Amino acid sequence: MTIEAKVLVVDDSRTSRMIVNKALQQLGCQTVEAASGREALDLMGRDSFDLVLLDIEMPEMDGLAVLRQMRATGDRLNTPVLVISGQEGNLDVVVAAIELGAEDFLPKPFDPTLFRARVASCVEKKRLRDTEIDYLRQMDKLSEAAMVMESGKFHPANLGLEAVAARPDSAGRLAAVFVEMATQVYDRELALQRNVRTLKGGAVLLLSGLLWGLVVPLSVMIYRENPLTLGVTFWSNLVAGLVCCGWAVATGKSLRITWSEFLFLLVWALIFGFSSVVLFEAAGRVSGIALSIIMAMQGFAVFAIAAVMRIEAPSLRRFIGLALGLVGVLALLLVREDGGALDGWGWMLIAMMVPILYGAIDILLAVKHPPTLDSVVSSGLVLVLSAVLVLPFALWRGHFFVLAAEPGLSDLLVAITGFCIGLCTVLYIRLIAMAGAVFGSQSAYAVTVAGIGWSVLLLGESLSLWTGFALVMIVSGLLLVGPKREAGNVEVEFRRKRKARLGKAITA
Amino acid sequence: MIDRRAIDRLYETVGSDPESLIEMIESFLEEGPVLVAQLAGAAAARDFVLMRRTAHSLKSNARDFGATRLGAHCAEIEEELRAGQEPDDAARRAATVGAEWQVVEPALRALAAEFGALA
Repeated sequence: MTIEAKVLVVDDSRTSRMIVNKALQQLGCQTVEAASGREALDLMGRDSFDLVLLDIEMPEMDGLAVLRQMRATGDRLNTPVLVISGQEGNLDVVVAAIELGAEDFLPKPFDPTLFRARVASCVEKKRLRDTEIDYLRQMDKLSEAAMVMESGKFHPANLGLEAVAARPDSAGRLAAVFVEMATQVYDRELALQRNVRTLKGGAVLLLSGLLWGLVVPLSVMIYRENPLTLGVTFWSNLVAGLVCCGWAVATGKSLRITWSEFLFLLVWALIFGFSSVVLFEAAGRVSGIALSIIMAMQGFAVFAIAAVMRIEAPSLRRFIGLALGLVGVLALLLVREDGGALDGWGWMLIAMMVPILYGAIDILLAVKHPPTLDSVVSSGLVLVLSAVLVLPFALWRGHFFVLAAEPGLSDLLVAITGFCIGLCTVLYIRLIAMAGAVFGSQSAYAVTVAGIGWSVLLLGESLSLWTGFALVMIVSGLLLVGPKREAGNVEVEFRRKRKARLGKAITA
Repeated sequence: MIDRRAIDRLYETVGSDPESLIEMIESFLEEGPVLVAQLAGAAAARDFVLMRRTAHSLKSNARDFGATRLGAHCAEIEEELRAGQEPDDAARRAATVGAEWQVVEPALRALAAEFGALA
């Protein structure tokens, strides 16, 4: 049986080295020669060996000096050393060598059987020691992973145990079980986090939906009292903008922006200002219920624009959703709630521009919103900017009025609408931060349902069978279109029972 | 002259490969005269450290190849020097080793020839 090992042979005599070399090669070993102690240390520093056969009597640096040096550099202690000594041997030197860490000695001239037995034994011990060291290293990794879990947030993929878990030995089994349990804890924590976010988000979603839903019937009421839509747009957007900016300042945000950020906000404000005017104009001609349902089309608009721009992957499911939504819209257009006075074809179509423009804004924000710009700040500035943009048109068309010059229902409605828009914007941004954009986009349903509810309550409208059908179609369609899924690659916290006690045990 | 048992043991240690044995004998035939000359030089210069080390190397090789008497001469010098003695007849002792080498050398060549026939 051959001994597979890499052995360093250290002897100043060429003939002696040759004898040891040939004896080792005959056993199957790979050999490297060193003619001096210095050369041996040099080779050991560059390469690793399974065994060193070391002559004691050498000029300049003898075998004992080599052993001392090996001892001084701890990492070489793992390599076993057999010292070669004469038959009558200087026992003191052999003892000194063993005390310095040599494994054993080989008497010369060599006895073939003894030579083989000592070399084999040393190599075997080295293998066992290597396995032991490797095992301890794996245990260290396991222990490090446990510390990571204990110290705070973790992700199973970041525990660094893949290599350990793949081992066929007991350390591997232990690591595999550890990873499995860590994954289970992770999944449970993640589910818990999601549930908490859903609950918290749900509450904000409901509140935000109730407020947004109020905007449509309020707009209808404003038009009845005050059809000066450009002036209404100016005041409501200004109030909303001041609410947002006030919130931002109150929460310590700066309203300072760069020139390129201003240009971005200007584009946004142009689209938003225009859509506001359209909304207030349509509010006079379309019933509150129909307008609320139309506003739910924002989700379709986002999907359609994103699909065209190839931002999101379209799928059959999403196109079916879009088709269902269109059936709902068609039902709305065909069934006119108020026998012609309201819900005319033309105004329905014009009203539909609003959710489409909102969808365009959503895409603009998703693609171009500067990451450094706070969302409440940018929304507030856009609202103020849109009011400023509308002002010249309001003046030109004679739509401008001074709010609260003669306080009446109209002024109060405009102020409430502006306040609602501002507060909703802040709430919506908080909702996205808390529960994510996916969850936030669900607010469209809440807005529509609340809008219908408010219209029934405030405007005395009623929901016909056909309008109900349209609502079901649009909501089902929106569910199918669905929002983009968020990445779930987040870290979770490992909660332990008796935290303090375990912590003490580890530090001890 | 040459202890045949030592040669047989060495032969077995290298896997009973005649070529390996011949190679080792040739190496000793090259290294031996160098060591003998070094021993004489060290004795003449009364460099007893070098003399002891050289005697040690020569002794070790001599024993490997069964040159018992050569090994014994060298061992004697090594032991004395290790004990700290500084012999007055160092040169004569080195000359004895040189003379013994003259006997060992042809015997080693004969051995190499013998194993050469096996190779």
